[in-house]
Amino acid sequence: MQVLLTACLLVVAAAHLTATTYLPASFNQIVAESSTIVYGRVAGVRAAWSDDRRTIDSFVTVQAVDYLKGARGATLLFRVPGGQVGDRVMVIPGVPSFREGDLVVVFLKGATPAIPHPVGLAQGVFRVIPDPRSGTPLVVPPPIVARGGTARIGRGDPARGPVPFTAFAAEVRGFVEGAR
Amino acid sequence: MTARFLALALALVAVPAADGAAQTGQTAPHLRPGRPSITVGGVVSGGYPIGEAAADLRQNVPGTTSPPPFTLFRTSTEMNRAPGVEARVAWPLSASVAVEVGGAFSRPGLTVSIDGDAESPAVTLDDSRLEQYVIDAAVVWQLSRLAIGPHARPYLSVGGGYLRQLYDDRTRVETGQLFHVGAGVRYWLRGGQGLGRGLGLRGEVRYHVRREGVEFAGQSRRYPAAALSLFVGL
Amino acid sequence: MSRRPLVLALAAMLALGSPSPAAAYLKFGARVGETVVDVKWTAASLPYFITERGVPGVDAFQFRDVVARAFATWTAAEAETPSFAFQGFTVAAPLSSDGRSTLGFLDRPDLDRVLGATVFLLDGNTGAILESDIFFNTRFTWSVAPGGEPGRVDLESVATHEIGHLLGLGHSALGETEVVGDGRRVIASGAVMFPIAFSAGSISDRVLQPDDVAGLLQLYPAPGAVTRLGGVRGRVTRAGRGLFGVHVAAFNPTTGVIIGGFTLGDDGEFVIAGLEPGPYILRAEPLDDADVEGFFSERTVDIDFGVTYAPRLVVAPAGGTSAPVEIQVRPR
Repeated sequence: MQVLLTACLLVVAAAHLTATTYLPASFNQIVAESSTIVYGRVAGVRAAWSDDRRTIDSFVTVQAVDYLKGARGATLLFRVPGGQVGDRVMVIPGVPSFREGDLVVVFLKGATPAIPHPVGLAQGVFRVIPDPRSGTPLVVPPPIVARGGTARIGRGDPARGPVPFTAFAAEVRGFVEGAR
Repeated sequence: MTARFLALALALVAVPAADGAAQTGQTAPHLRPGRPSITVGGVVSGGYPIGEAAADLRQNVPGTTSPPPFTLFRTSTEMNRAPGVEARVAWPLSASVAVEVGGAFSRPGLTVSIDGDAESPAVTLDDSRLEQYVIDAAVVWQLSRLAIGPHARPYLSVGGGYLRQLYDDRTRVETGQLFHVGAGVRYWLRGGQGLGRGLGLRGEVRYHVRREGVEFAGQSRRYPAAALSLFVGL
Repeated sequence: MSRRPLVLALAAMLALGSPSPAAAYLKFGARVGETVVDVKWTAASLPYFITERGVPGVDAFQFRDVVARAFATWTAAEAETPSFAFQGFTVAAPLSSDGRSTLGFLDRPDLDRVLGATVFLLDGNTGAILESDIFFNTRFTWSVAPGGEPGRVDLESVATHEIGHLLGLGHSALGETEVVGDGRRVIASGAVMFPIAFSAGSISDRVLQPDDVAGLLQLYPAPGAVTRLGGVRGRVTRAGRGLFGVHVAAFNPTTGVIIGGFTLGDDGEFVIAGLEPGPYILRAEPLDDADVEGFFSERTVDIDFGVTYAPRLVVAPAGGTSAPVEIQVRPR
């Protein structure tokens, strides 16, 4: 048993873990609450103490590939709580973490000049990966879209596989246009 | 199942008696007190359910710490019909009563069926094999007033014993108790005369009650079994 | 001594004990150099402070009492958890680095939709916990009523969840959700540590579920649990290749208990420990309905498959793990 425990610890060492209690949002709500929706690649992550040295925030720079809502420029900076400064690591589990090179769609809230933050923390972050066969960008997992009425979100539903980014973007833009 | 068992038992005990000794003028052998016999043969145990279960989650209902369950899926599991082997040693106490001890081995399969899963079609899992061992003791009452021709006599038996079941990877053991009543016929090949007079065949049907062992619902289970054996008196 | 990087990591919860059925899910790990250490408390007693602040419907004294009950819920479980010692009220707010573990209300409009959260301050050289705070967002209306109140979030339920994090537990994925109108809600869950809160007015997460207890016992094993309990292991594959981030639920048809686990590597291997010995039905499912960042970050989980059961029963022996089973899934 001890051998298994050690092995398992080692194989998972690259991932982060989250831990908040949150209210769930549908995709519609996430889009509606966002002021900016950016698709891009993480260009850098910098953590810093707050002015009173009580908390650490991480500042994520994204090289924008496309804006699905509220364009802000070629690069965009947003903020998430927690991070590492020197030998101190502040972790707020539930807050998504980013690495340089990550391809993401981030739903952001907060008007200029404030530095925006993801809507609903982890709920406002979608990862994009290349399709292993075609290289087409895929969004994983797909958004949970409310289409009226009540419907269980079944795991393994054939209709809920990875979504091509183009379809994802069209869905977002449809909501944005519909809200106007 | 129970009705069929009873019918077979009656057939074994009563019907053959009609063409018994009166037709042949001969008398079938009795047990020989103090002379043990050994029986070796095969047995087939009937299948039976071992429990249904629901994979329940805690439902989102305000105002209570024990909300009603939400069922993710349901399962039902069957212990399958299985052949086995058994051996018994009998020690006659009188011409009609003997005590027996014996053991049996079989490898029944477990079949699990899953349904009620909104996210998956109903499935039946591959059988999981058990190794099943039984050690028991029984009292056999040979019906002295009934004979089936010059070679055979019916009998009744009642007994109980220890059940041990191992899952196929032998990492988990379940134990329990097994009780049975049965009825059968001994058939002496030589009519109990001359060389090989103690050699014969034995057929029996039993009605088992099993407690504990591999069991998913904490209930006693009942199932029939039929055995056919070769016996030899010493 | 040179500074070594520390990365918060995800680790399998190889639960080693639980009197009733247990769980094996996620826990916090910290990478220090080449090794990963559990983020857990090592001291026998954990002192904590309460922020001297109330909100409408909950004053600081009520808050203190509710938190004490939530701590007691965890310490009552069969595990070697630290004791928790209330040290007094403080004007300091949670989420501030002051060397004290503080619980209290805090106004964090930027953390919208977050009812509460647990914060760790770790030593980057050792992975040791320096302090851990829990905040409860004042953007919501809270209740401490014994039977809950319609429309108000039950403080004790959220506190119980967050204290699970404070002890080092991650999230369980045992739960089902649905869309309702324009929103989403939880239908049901199998763990207090399911990340999405029940509806306002619900109080059922005041009571731990077996999955929670199993997780706790992994971090703080009770004497004898290692030899008394068992585990199951296996691999989830698609076309012969392992899958990462698959949720595997182990169901014991004898006890009716469900325990969750995950595949945590590219080889698709999983181990679910802390199980009552006996037979288990394993169900592999994609995390396609979840906010995956609530479980894994910096990695994309594989969701291109349907719900699939292991081909046969798997038996957890006492003091060990099962023979491995392969769950072969297919693309949708």
